[in-house]
Amino acid sequence: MENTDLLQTNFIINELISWRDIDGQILILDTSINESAHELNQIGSYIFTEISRETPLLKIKEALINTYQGQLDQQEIETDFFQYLNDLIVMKIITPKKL
Amino acid sequence: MSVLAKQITRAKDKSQPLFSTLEITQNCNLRCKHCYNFDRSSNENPISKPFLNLNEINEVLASLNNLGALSLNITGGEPLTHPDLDKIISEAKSYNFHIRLKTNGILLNSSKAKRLFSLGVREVDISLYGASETTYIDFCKKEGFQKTIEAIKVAKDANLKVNVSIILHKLNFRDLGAMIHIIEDLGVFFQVSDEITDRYDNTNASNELGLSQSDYLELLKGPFHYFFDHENKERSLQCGCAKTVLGIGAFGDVFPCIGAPVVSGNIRDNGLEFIWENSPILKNIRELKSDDFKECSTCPLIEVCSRSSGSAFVNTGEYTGCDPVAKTFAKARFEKNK
Repeated sequence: MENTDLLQTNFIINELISWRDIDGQILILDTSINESAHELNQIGSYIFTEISRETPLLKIKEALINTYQGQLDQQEIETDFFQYLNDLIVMKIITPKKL
Repeated sequence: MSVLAKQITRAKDKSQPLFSTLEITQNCNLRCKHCYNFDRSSNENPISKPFLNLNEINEVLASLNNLGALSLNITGGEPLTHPDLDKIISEAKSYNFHIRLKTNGILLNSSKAKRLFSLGVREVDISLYGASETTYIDFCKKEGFQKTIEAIKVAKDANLKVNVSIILHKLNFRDLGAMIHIIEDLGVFFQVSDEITDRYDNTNASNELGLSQSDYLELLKGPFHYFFDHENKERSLQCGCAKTVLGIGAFGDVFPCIGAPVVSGNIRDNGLEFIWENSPILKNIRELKSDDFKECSTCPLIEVCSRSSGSAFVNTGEYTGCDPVAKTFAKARFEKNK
């Protein structure tokens, strides 16, 4: 999916997975799709949590840019953000919300 | 270290009960001789207190969510006999728990399996007590073998992850190969459970049904020895009890694990979160050191012993003591390794 299309799509967490926050890191149990457990780092956990709250991706991206402004290059943040989203989509951890 | 093992260690450090078990009933459609709830062979019904009602169960689920539980095991008795099971699962799913149902499978048919999956159950743990109806009638007091096999098939077809627990006892341990063959043909996961403990009502089940040292040695020398060749080189005595594991009984008692029925409070007296955070019994268990397991820490069999504190408690009343059943099996391993 193109990045501009991504930002216009509302995503939700796949109902087939379960997850919990353990001291700031998300642990995902995924027995139905990939038959594995996944751990997300702090930034990944932040993005995942915001998606679970159905926060628009554009807002999440802007929040990340604001948080890491001065520490990381904006282009680098955007590239990593979209790559991360695509990983979650490929693994079917997030899916487009059906209207 | 696997992702799960690493995160379990992190959860252990902050006593987050990732793996919680809720017993929703003690009613059952079978009368298994080994049942740990109570002696079901008696015609008298020993259940004198009311089980948790739906409101109380919903309160427990909300508390488990607040405590950070990830996996929720729903057990019994037989949970499929519970009239509000669908409502319980729907409520649990609203908290995104990974829901497992522990069942004998006999009441499970295709439409029920599909409904369980659509409501949010992701795994079923189905007990297998033998490889024939004869064993079922003898052990469970009812036919059930074919229905259990059918349940495994329909659960798998409904996309539920199926784990079969082979319950080994004196009457069926020579049928282990037949049971494994059946399960492998069905293409599902399985595990072998080799210990029959005493019952939680203090009546004895293990003497009559449990495997003896010679039975165990026979298994250790047989083709499936790898299920029994336990090693404990690190001399580990600790488990996840009261740290990443939590159990709630059908009458509201809170345990460090459903397999370790040390009553640490009751949700009818105090909320689950209060008990988890303040129970002196749970605190004591969290603070145990290897040296506190006095008999086991110096036992020459510890490196081949599969001891669990829950079984030790059920069988002897001592959480940190020696489990005589595990010791019997350890002796068999020691004898085999000589």
